Order: sequence, then structure tokens, then C-alpha cells
Amino acid sequence: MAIKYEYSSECCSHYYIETRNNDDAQVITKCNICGQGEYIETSRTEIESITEPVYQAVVEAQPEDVAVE
Amino acid sequence: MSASIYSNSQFTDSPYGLKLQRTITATGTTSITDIPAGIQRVYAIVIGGGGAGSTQTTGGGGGGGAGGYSAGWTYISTSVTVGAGGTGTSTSAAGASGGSSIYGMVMAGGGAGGANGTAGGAAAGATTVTAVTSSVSYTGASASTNTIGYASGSSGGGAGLAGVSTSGGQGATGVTGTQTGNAGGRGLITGGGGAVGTSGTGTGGAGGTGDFFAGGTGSSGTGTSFGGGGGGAGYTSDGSNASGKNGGNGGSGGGGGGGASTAGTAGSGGNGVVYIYY
Repeated sequence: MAIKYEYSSECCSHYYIETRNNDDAQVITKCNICGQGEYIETSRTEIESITEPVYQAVVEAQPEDVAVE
Repeated sequence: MSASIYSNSQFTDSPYGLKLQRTITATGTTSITDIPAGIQRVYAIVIGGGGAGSTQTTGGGGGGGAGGYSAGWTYISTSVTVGAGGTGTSTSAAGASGGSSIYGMVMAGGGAGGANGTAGGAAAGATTVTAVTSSVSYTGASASTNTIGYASGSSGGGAGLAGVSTSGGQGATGVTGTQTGNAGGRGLITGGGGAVGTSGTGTGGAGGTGDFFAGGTGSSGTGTSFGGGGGGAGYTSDGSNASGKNGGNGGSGGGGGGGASTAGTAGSGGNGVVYIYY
């Protein structure tokens, strides 16, 4: 089961997320911004596992994009 | 003063000014739907699963190859796939390959399992199973002019070769007398050690030494109850030591599994990992 763990560092309140299997160990334990404090878990959520990748490439036309005649 | 990324253990591909916001190790494909609005491009480091070692009915199996490494900018995606490491078994056959990992347009293949024989498995991205390295170096130059390839193939006759991702070591073919397995190649993510299966004194090869983590040690003793190869170093943890005739598991983050001594259980490859920066 995949779980999304949300953390806040005790030093600079950096918001950081790990998604890992339920019984796997935390990968990053110390704040990866300032390296001073531990990550404190703020919430965990079971997330959806899907069988086929779904990609989202956002390409929006810009005002300067004009057709070439 | 000169500096080389190859000798700087603190080097990472993480982009200056961005923050590591997400680490994904859950294998398979999961959804990501909550990247903050307005962020269209992110930087990702993607690592494939490691290959499993092999086992043989006589002699020692080869170590599994390391998962591939890839990094770069990508559009955001609503899904991420993390490849599982190949699972080591006690069946005499090639080891299972690791799975591929992908986020957006950054992807990395899984390492090959140890061969059905003594040869070690190639790292993901190697040109061929037995090629010296991949066709390009880490810096983009021709691999023939640079000693650091993106991925190394099995040497086919000895220790795994160096690279960013490296191949497993070859197992020993001899079944009598003193025998020694070959180590996995040195690199960022490394292959497992080759095993030995001898009636004499045998020592399994160590998993390759990683830039950040260590490979596991091979098992040593007299007879075929010993001689497993150590697991290769992963991107996020050490490889496991061999235990008796069984190979050690590869470290998490793509380490290759160690080969097994005669009819032992080969080490499994480490699962892949994906990092996202923005």
C-alpha cells in the first residue's frame, strides 16, 4: 500500500513529502534545506495506485504564438 | 585549483536554488495530483530498480546490475512509476531484471539480472551485456575518451566495470580448491558481487563500492554452504552482506543483488527511487 507522508522540518518548517510503501523506512530524515532539524510528520494519506501512467503535458497557446502564413 | 565531479562525493545533480520537495519509493505507478498550481516544470532524478543476482546448480552465480540513473527537467505529470528490484530466487537461471522508473520525460531502466551462468548482469543503459561501458560518458563525451560511462556492461571475465551505474561481478567457475568471486563495479549505483561454489575455501565477491554508500561483503568459508556475493550499493542505502550461500540484497535506490553459491538464494535488487525538485 502506498502512503503519502507529509512533513514539516522543525528548523525552518520546510514542507516535504515522501510517498513510500507502508512499512518502508523514511528516506530523508533531516531537513534537506538547512540540514539542522528533523522532519516531523504532519499527516499521512493512502494514495491511489494506478496501472497505466497518465501524463499531463500542459501546453497553452501564448498571445505571441501566431500562425505563420 | 581544479575540481572533478567524479572525485567529489558531495556532488549531486540537484539544481541550485530548488528544493527537494518529494521522494517517491513506493513501487509501481501512483498518482501525483497536488503539485502546486502554477508549477509546470520540475527537475527530477530518477533511478531504476536493480537486477537480482543469479544462482547455479554448480559454481557461483553472477551479481545483478545496478539500476539506471537519469536526471533532468520535465513537465509535470499526474503519475510516477518506480521500478521494483528484481527478486532473487533459488532457481538456476538468470536473475530477474529490475523495473524501469519514470516521471514525465525523465526515465531510467532497470538493471539486468545476473546471467544464467557466472557472468554478472549489465547496468541499465549499457550498450550490450558485455560492452565495456555505455556509448557516451557521464559528461556526454564519447565513452572511449572518458573513463566514466553512464553504465557499464559485465566485463565477462572479472570484476564489474566502473560507471555511474555499474555491472555485477562475475561468479567463479571453479568448483574445487580456493575460489574468489569478483566484486561489482565501482560507481554511483553499483552491481552485486559474484558468488563462488567450491568444495574448497570460497569467498564471494563484494558488492560494488558506491560514491555515497557501501557494497555488502561476500561470504567466506569452506564448502558450498558459503560463498554468496554481497549486494551492490544503492543511491539511498548500503548493500546487504551475503549470508552463507545466499547473496546479499542490493541497497535501496537501484543496487544490484549479489549472486548465490550453489543452489542458494540470490540477492534481490534494490527498488528504484524518484526525487522531484521545484
